[in-house]
This record gives sequence, C-alpha cells and structure tokens, in this order.
Amino acid sequence: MPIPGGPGAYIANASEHDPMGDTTHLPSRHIEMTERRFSKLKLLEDGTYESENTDQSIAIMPWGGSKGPALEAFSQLIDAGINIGWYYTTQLHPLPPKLLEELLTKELVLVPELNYLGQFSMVLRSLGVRAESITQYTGLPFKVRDLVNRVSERVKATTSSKAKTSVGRKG
Amino acid sequence: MSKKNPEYDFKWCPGCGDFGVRRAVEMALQQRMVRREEPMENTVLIAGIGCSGNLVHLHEGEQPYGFHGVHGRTLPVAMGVKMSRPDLNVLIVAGDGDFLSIGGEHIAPQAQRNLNVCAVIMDNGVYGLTKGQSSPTTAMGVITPTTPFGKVETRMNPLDLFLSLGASFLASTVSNKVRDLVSLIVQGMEHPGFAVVNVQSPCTTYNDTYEELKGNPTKGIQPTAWDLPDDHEVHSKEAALQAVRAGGIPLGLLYQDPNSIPFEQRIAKMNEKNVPKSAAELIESFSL
Repeated sequence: MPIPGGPGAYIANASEHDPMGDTTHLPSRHIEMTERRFSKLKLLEDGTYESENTDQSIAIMPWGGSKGPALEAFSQLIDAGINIGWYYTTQLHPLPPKLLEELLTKELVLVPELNYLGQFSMVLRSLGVRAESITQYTGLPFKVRDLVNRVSERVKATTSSKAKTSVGRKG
Repeated sequence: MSKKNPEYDFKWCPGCGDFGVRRAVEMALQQRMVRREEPMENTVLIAGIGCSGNLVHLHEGEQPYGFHGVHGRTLPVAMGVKMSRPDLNVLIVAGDGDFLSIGGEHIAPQAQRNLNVCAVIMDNGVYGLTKGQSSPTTAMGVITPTTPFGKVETRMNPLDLFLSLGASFLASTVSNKVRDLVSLIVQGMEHPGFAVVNVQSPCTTYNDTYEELKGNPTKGIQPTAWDLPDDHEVHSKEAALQAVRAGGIPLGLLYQDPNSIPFEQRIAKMNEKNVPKSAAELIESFSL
C-alpha cells in the first residue's frame, strides 16, 4: 500500500481501485477486486473451536456472551445425567469447516441466543445443520437455571418422540 | 478519463467549476515544487467524497500522494498525516457537503489547533455527485430532490463560520478566476496554520450559479460576487468579518493572522516541558 510522502494514492471511497490506487468503475476490475476480497475467506479456514462430548447426537452451541451461562448450564446438565455435546467458536460465519462437518452429523443443535428471531440458528439451518434456537428477549442475560430447564425439556421431548416414532425430530 | 489513468471513467459535467480548481491546484503545486525544489511527493492531497473528491484521480502531470477517504473526514485524515509527517505539505480538497455538513464538526477543533494544512473548499451549494440534494450552502427556498417544497433552512455563510471558528487564513474566490485561485492556494499552503480557500465552484447540472455570481446586465441580474477593495486590511479580523457579513460573496484574501503558530510548533513546545523521566524516577512515581 502506498504511504504518504511517496507516490501513489490510497483510496477508501467505497469504489473499486486499480493497482495504482485510482478509482475505477470498469466491470472487469470490479470482478477482479470482488474475487480478490472473497479469496481472503480462505485464510479463515484454519479457525478454532471448542468441543466436548462430541459423540452425542444432541449438542448445545451458544455464541458470544451467552457462553458463560450456557457453559455453566452444560456442566449442570451433564451432572444431572442429561448427556449432550458442547460446541463454541468465535468464528461464526464462515464456520471452521471441520466444525460444520461435525455439526452436520448432529440430530439437534440447540443455540441459546439473546434475540427474537434466532438469527444464528437461521444461519446454521441455511448450512444444513438441524439447529434450533432457545431465545430470550428480556434485555437481560440468560439465567443458568432457565437454560437448564429449557434444554432438558427440549432434550426430553426429542428422546421421548424418538422412543415413540423412532424419528429424530419434533416441533 | 484522465491521461494519467485511462481506466478511470469518472467525468465531471461540462462547465463544472471543479475543472478550474483542478487546474489551479496543479499549477499551485507545480509552482511550489519549483520554488522550494522539493519533489511532488512531498505534497499529500486529501479528498473527501463527492464530485470534489475526484480531483485526486483527475489530477494531471506529476502526481502528489492522494488520499481519497471517508465522507466528511478530510480533516481527521489530514491531522493524522500532519502529526506523523509534519514535513509534508497537506492540501485538502473537499466540497461544501463534505466539509461543511458531514465534516462540519471537525472544523472547530482543527481551526483552534491551527492545524498546518490548506483546505480548498469547492462550494457549489448542492450535493452534485448524488444528484442535486440540498447542502448547507443551498439558498433558502430552493427546490431540490430533498426539499421538494423549497429548502426551509437558511443558507450557511461558510466564510463567517471559518472566521468565527478561528481559521488563521481565509480566502474566497470563484473557480473560473484560475490565476487568482493559484495565488491564493499558494499563499494558503505557505501560511503557517489552518488555511481555508473557499471557492465558488458552480454545478452546471444542479445549481448553475455562474450568472448569479457574475451578474447579467441584460437580464438585470446584479452580481453577488464582489472584489475586496485594495485597502482591505488582511491582518484585521474585524475588517474580514465586516466583509463577509456585508452580503454577497467577497473575493480575495480576507484574513491572515500574522502571529499564527501552527499546531506542530505548539506540540514541539509542549514536548519541551514534557521531559522523559528516567526508569528509576518512573518506578518511584508509582510507589505508595
């Protein structure tokens, strides 16, 4: 990148630029620059993630600041004998490819998230993951006790319906 | 399409005032380069967004370093450049929408710091690039896409604003007076402190004010632009304020503070007092 005091130009005007730093609106440059930008996503493929109890068919995967209460709820659930898996990553989109591979094998991925729509489970579903949100929109963080109750209810519903129909999902 | 870069496909409309400003900037930089015997790269041209900002890419001949940045943020960028490289000559090119509206809040602090840059403001009284919306210098009552029943805000007087906020150099001219503009830009770049050259640069497509500025006797239009008298006291802020409040658009060098101390000198002076402590003293200062 050219720096002040030398030749060239720096451009941050939201248009595409050529190797000299000048603005260009040529379609060929636009294609070149767009592909260049998106090729940087490759650099994210070595992303890391946390995982625990990965051989379970049901997993819980919070994101962002919900990690704390979700982790506490997870350990309480394990102690109570509700055996589920745990996944967590700071790299949500694109997901680390290996993590996505693992999530695709799950019967149900529960996503505690603090919003109305459940955006992250939407993203996961768009990738083919059988994901479901546990949403809360009180403006407050999750309580561990609420998460434990809601997750265990959901897990029980899944396992009991499986016992009846031997089909994995319900509702 | 410029000679320098045949790929660049942006065009100013025929008759755009910015052509005159571009020519003047090129000539002023050439003059400075020859007189000071310094390379063209010693100048950094900082532009905001708008038709004015494209001056960076349409510049012909030897090319100074260009920075085509964020809308309204020419002054913060300029401050960054000037702070890390005080030896560089920083020239800002911006429009009225960029500098006075979105970037308006940056003028006061930099004028008070007396940041040593020269800002050339191309004032066309309209947001030209985005197709003619009203800007702070659009006259009241003018119909634009954003003011379909006429603009309800009064027109800003940017010259008055710059003076009140403490700019230490202020000049005003019209873009078709290229020779005057060159001399004012050169003086502004030489001035040690915050220099503003406000240029009436009409937009032929959305706000053609050439006739209004120059007047048209056959249509009975009185010119709004008037030359400052020869005996105008450039070192007197009162005289300058009187001129900018007299109505119309005064042309010429309005004000220059003879005792202007640029920001980099103020910082250097402050640093003299700020003597670095020895490691032992520093540790001592944290002890309870």
